[in-house]
Amino acid sequence: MPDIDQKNGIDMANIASINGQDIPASGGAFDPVAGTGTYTTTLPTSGLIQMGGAYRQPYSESASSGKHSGGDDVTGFTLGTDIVRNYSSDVNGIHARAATPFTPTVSKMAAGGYAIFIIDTDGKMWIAATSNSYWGGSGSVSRRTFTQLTGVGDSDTGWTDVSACSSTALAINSGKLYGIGNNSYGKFGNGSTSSSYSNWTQIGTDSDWVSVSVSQNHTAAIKGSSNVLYTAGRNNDGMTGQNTQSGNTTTWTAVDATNLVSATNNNFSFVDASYHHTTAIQSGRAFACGRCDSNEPLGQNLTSDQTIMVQTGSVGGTLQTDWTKFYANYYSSHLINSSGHFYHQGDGQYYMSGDGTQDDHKAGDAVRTSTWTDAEDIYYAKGQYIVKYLIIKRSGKLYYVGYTREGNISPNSTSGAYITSPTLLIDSQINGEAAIIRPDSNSAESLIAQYQ
Amino acid sequence: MATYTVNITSESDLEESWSDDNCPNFSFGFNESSLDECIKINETTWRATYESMELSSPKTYTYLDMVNGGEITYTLAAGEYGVRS
Repeated sequence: MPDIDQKNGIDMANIASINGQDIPASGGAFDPVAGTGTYTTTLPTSGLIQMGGAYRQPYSESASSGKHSGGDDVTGFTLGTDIVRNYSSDVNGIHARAATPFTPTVSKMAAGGYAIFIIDTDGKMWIAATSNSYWGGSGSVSRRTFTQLTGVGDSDTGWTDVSACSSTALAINSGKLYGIGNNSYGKFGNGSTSSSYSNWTQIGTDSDWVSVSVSQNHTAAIKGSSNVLYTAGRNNDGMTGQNTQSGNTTTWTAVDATNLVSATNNNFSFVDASYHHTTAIQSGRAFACGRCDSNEPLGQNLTSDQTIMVQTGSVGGTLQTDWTKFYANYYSSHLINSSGHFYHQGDGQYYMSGDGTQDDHKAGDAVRTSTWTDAEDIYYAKGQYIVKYLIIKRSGKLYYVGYTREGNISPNSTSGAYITSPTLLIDSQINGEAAIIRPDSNSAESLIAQYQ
Repeated sequence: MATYTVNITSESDLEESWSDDNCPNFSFGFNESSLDECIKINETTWRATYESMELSSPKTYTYLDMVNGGEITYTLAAGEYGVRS
């Protein structure tokens, strides 16, 4: 077909609409095959922003509504007629965002496979889910908008922490611990393996829970005025730190204190339960247990599974005392210190080293792989057996590094299947946190974060 | 830890869990979660595995009392626990 610049004296680029269909300004000039011309797009800049994901439509949304029928039971695709829905593609063709208006300021955000949980700065819990199985409130929940959870816990404004993975969520209200969803391997820690779909179950009676972290098969939490670290769930890989790889810890049990500071389980300020590990910070020191092999994911030249907490995070041969965040995955682990410095230890596969290379850091030390002084946090796909990409938060902005196809979350690049160096993902100030949605049955992961 | 094998006849058998009164904060179950992971013996029988917990020396555990609140501390003697009866 020949290129047509004009017809009947009218510039084609100036045609605003055809048969009632609006044409984006300058849209006609872009040739997606040749990659020439310009294509002006409007990316949403406020609300909850969703990026990536193979399925960007609500499940079972009828085709007649103009949306495709969902291919999987996926939440997080909070789109609808009342929602800003600016799918857009730049010249590289892979940059897509959708936005859901959300006025409250996000304090904490967590995503399972079928639900997103948000705690705002007023202590309210908001949920979007595929079904009431992950709602637990009165009435019904929506997958397209966030509904405030009321009537659960002592106070509707008493929520302080939430963590989710796959089909399980744990949350803290007024110091009391609640769980909803799957309780396989006893990861609720309530002495049972019975699940609690559609209802938030209070776990025990104590009211001094501080923080909680949920993974695929186990959980970890900090509790009490002394900030004691407890775990529950599957002992496989030694990831519960109970000195065993057999069976399940079905009741919250304090981790073995043998290697902890002064051989005492207290003063924990951070904990993360990942697929194979528990990582935690005690008095600025990094401790971890779980899977270790030749990849040395926990550093310190540890090549066999650690069934009790061991200290890690040495720099220049000295174990550091200023760590604030510590996350482990299959091949390596990452630490952030109080100066905002970002460190890597273990295997560098999938560019997890964070310095634009796949270099290993297996000499025992954690290695600072950038000059950053503003690293704040790391987000990854909870429940992933092998974590292949990271979202790094720096000064409120999100950066992506690693395998792009796994996450279906891409910055403006077609440079290959990997984003080799941490690359700015969202050029806007972020409120609160971000979360990655990963449905159980596929890898259609997507990122949700808040724009101001 | 010692590995045991158990013959099962359906996938639902893999959902079984059992406890050991000596260590009430733990439960035990099969390693496999589907028949595909088990060794097929014949058309109706598959072989599942599990691991017991072995302690070479006494170990003290502190777990939460989920009914009354507070903590329960006990010491488990060296030995093998979690063997399916």
